[in-house]
Amino acid sequence: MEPQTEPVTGNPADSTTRNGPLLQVEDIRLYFRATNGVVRAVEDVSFELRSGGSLAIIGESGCGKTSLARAILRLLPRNVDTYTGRVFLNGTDVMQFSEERFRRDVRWVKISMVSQAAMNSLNPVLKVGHQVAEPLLLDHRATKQEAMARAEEVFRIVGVPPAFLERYAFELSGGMRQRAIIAMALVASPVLVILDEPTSALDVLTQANIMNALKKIKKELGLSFIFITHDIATSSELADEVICMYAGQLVEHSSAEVFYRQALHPYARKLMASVPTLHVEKKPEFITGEPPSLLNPPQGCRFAARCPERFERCQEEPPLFTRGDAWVKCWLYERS
Amino acid sequence: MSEAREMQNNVLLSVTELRTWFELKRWGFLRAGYVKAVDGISFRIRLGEAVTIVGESGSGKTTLLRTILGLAQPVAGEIIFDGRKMDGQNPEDLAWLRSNVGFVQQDPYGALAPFMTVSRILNEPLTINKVEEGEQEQRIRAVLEEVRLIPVEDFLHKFPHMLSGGQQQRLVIARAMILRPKLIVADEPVSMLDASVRVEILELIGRIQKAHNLSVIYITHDLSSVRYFSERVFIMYAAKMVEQTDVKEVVRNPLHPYTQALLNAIPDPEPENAGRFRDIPPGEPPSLINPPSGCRFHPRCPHIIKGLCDKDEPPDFEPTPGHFVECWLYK
Repeated sequence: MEPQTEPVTGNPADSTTRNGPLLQVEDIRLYFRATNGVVRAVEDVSFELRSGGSLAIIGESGCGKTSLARAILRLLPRNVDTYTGRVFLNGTDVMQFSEERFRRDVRWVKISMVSQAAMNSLNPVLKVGHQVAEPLLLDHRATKQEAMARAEEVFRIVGVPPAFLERYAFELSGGMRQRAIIAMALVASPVLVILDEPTSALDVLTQANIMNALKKIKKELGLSFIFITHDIATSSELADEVICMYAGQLVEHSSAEVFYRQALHPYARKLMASVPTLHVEKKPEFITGEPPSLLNPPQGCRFAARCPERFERCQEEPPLFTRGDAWVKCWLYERS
Repeated sequence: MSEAREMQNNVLLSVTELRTWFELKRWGFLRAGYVKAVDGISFRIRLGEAVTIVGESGSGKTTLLRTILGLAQPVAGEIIFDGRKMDGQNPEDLAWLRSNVGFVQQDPYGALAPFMTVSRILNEPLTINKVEEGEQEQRIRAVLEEVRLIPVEDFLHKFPHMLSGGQQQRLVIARAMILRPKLIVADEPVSMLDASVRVEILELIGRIQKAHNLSVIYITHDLSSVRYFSERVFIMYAAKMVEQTDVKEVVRNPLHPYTQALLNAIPDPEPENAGRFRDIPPGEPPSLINPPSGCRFHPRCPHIIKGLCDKDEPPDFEPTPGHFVECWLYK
């Protein structure tokens, strides 16, 4: 990837560039104002993603996984209370960019996103091809012909016949619309695509077909993915690393091998045990109780109240402990 | 003979060659065709039996359910519930049917009136069906205890928005149960809930089913939850029921190519998944306005027999007892 050419606005003495992975996220914190207080949606989440890697972020609804993705892309609603932390893309701290520069150089150019149920938000009165090519036409990034040629190319990559460029959204099936949305995310050749529940509104077979297409894209284009889902079985289709979130916090970050075989954090283990399996006979369990309110989260470990393995230590908030290559936010791993 | 009789007597719901078509209008008055949402479906459910209907969206599973509930008018076919033939016209029949069938909706929050308290929500069906005043309170308490919304006092005066997703779904189940129905139909009851709560709700429905010897029709697109819930499974594709069999059998020995593809498409969470491509038939389910001739799966089927599958509709074959499949491969 070509490095950022423009000097970074702000204090030049800041260490704003460094070598390392494609994406480094440090202490992202995102709070929202609500009528009855401050919702702590994301609290001090840090992780790294290497180039070509794919990371699944899993957790139940309301655990902050979508907020985290939106924080990385700075797609924030108006009621933000606190938004701090650092995001390094190819070693450049993009959090210091002005809104205008972020829009011009990062959003959709380097990092794009497929949001939840985006296939229902295609413009009904514009041809699909035009909508897919649109990111290239902004800021005169390409001529109309170039943009349409590129749109045709990405259509082929995601498996939509080029003739569909001339169609309207209502003429496409759900699966084809979702593919068009993925094409839209790929059109500006980003280095990272954030997929927020890209298949959860689709049928089983269509879902499997789209996962096949994404695997092919990952293999052939070497793109990096962040794949957000609450569907644990589907997450395993595209993950080589997994982050598990609970109540706004990262509780486990480990390789797919560790996570799907024997997760470390008690919550992650319980979550895995609750997944019904089709091919292996196993009785799924459920987790008693409910996640805490993010308006007023409990002191100490946030999972303690539901945790079968809690002990005195859990009254304090655990830091992230390392265990091999994995990070776990649990006192059980203090010694190792 | 007597055994067949016995079977007959135990049948709670019998559906024969049911067809529900919706008329398509052009300019408000010209007939442009039909959406054949349910097209020739037959099955039977015994008293106390739990069955699952699996199908993708648009396969007609919800329309089938609505037709059984009398919410949609069939154009042909017969529904017999508890020995009484339903034609969907007679209001008395409908009232009787609906007091005997409990409905658990997909989206609990959308199914509960936001301005009613829990006790009012549960009171409504009792008042409509003229249950004695003295008995109402007692019934509400019993049903709330049954779905584990306890202590009951804490919940009686709450509004739906004060409950969590799981609790709301329990309330919907309580409402479906309060008239002591013989049949519960649940349309994707857990698809809006989180993974950790899903199993709890499915177990709750299972427990209630056994305790009251109810029949349950459970509709889902998620084949992986089926084996923990029901004894029999019906697979629907494009308004047809392509396979009917035991749950164990469908996992071990799926016969219809569509069922095989479904089983193939559903991953178990394993790290190896990321490295392998799944063998999935291309394409999408056909339009129900103008479905393909012959077997509806033939344009996507890897085992197509040319000249047969694309011409003639396959009837129900029974290769092994109790395992029905609509596929020419098994003639």
